[in-house]
Amino acid sequence: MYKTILRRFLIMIPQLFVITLVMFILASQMPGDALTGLLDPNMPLHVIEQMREDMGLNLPWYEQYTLWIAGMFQGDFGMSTTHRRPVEEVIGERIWNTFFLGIFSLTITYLIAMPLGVLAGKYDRTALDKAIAIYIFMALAMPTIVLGIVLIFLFSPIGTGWFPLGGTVSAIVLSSGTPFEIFMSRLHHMALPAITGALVSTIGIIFMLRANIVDKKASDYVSLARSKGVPDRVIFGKHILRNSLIPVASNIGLVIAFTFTGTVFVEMIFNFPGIGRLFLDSISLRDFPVVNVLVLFFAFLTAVGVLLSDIILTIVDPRIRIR
Amino acid sequence: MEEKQEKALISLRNLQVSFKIEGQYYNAVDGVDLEIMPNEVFAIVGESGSGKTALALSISRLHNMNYTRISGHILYNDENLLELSERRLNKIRGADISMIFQDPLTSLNPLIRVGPQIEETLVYHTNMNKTQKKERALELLNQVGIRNPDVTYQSYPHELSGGMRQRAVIAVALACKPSLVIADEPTTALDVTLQAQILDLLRALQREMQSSVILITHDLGVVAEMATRVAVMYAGQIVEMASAQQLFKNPRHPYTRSLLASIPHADSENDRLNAIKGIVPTLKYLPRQGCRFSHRTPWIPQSEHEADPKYHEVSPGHKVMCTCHETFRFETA
Repeated sequence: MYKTILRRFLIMIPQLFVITLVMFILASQMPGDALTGLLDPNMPLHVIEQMREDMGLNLPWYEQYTLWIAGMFQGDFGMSTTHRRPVEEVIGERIWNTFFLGIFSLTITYLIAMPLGVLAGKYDRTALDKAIAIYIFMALAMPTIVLGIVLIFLFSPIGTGWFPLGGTVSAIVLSSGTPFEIFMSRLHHMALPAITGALVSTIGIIFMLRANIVDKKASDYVSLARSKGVPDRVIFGKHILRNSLIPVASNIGLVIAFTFTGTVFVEMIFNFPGIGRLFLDSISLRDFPVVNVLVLFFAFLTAVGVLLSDIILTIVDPRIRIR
Repeated sequence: MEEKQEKALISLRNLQVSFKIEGQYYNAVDGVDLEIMPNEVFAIVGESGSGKTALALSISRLHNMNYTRISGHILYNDENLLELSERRLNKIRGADISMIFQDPLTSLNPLIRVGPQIEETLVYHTNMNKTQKKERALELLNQVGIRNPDVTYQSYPHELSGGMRQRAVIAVALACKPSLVIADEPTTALDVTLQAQILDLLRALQREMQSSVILITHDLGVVAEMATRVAVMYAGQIVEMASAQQLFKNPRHPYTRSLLASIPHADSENDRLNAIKGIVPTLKYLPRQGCRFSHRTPWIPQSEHEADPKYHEVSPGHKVMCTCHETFRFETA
């Protein structure tokens, strides 16, 4: 088991290499660079050219790439061209916001998806199941961006004002509140973005859980359990639900990766100061040192998510063992 | 001359089982009367779709009742099982009536070790403590011919072969020494050598425990080997019922005779298989009037069938449905 995990991490290294390479080539094809549009239009051209030369932007992409990789191996993540600070600092001050938003979003995802999936499966082909199906298709048809805007119109200060818009915590609470009040204020600020991010993820989980429960209800081992005189309540928990939860459990890693990469749009809509918004801002400002590190981070997260799924699967399903 | 009649273990009276298709109910079992005696092996034979599994599952009401209607009487210990609440029925399921299913590969829960799955029956029908249950489970595994009960007890189903799993399923069924075991094609999914072993095991255990077995099968070889009495089912009805001996010696109903004729013989001069023409109609299009087998014997004129087929007793304990059995002949080429 531990050997496998180590091996999977080692395999990740070439994968991440390829990703950085592709990213570098694509970035080199984009029009403009970090200096475009940032400078005073009255600045003489030869000064700009000199700055390009100093920042190494005139080197061919493969030389820039080699320099970047060499820096990474020495723990030098580079300088953000817009913030004029080390990349790790710029990312470091935003990553926790995204982390908490992601955790909150995941919690909401499973709090919605698990009960709905179980109910839809347990009472399949009833009115309840159909009502849940309506929820699924509405969530499916609603793009994250539209949902975010709808929520802003309804619940932010523009609408009912139940939830604040923008920022992560209220300034007054931060300066004078107890830790608990600060925590609640954070949750309050994160609620709308977290719900927006969660809704899309619930669809797959509900679908999967419902289909599995319906399938297991008709399985032979459930008939056998019924023929033993086991009460239906026990059969549902012990035989149907446990077997149906396996694919859901093994899917958690992927949902985690999806939730964190999905915050890119959510943070943009809600003007939330996390790494997702930083990512989009950095792309439009051609701040490639930041973009590169974030892409690497998202790629790493996805790879770890897949690995996590496999590990969970071997824990919950005796039929699957990795050696 | 009137012998003292032995009391039936379980009797079915005018049993109707219907399934919902597109909002309408269609009878898969249409008026079956049966009596199972104590300590006998009663076989029900018929092609796929003849209603034998629907009949078997309805005895302990294992159908999904959202899409199934069962009417008539199933009398067991002077109680009509169809009127019992789910709770009362659960006291009988597993303890008095248990099931063996067709596919051993799917009839055990893949996440639970074999031992606890056998013990599950004991949990709901006995007051045994943990060690007693384990002892009983090991004893059962030994009884069904598993060589290393300790190892098998700790195994997950996927670690066992098909034959081992079917033995484990039989152990589950026998855990509480039920008086009736319903075996729904217990050997269909197994290869031929295993089939013989499992049948031998079933017969040995049945004799040892003096319980009755309802054996659902489409394999007449299995019937000849195991059964004391046989019912032949077609399109939801029993068309012929007799002792196994009589049935093989003197088959009467055209369907029974066609089934027997369709068994291939190794020494047969005729290379062609005597297949029965046509297929069993699907539930929705099942003929509901007259002799239901008549559409597969088109060379027999309608006048030889009864309009409303009844049972005719050809000899004591040998019943045949419809008059067509008197004049039936196979189609001449």
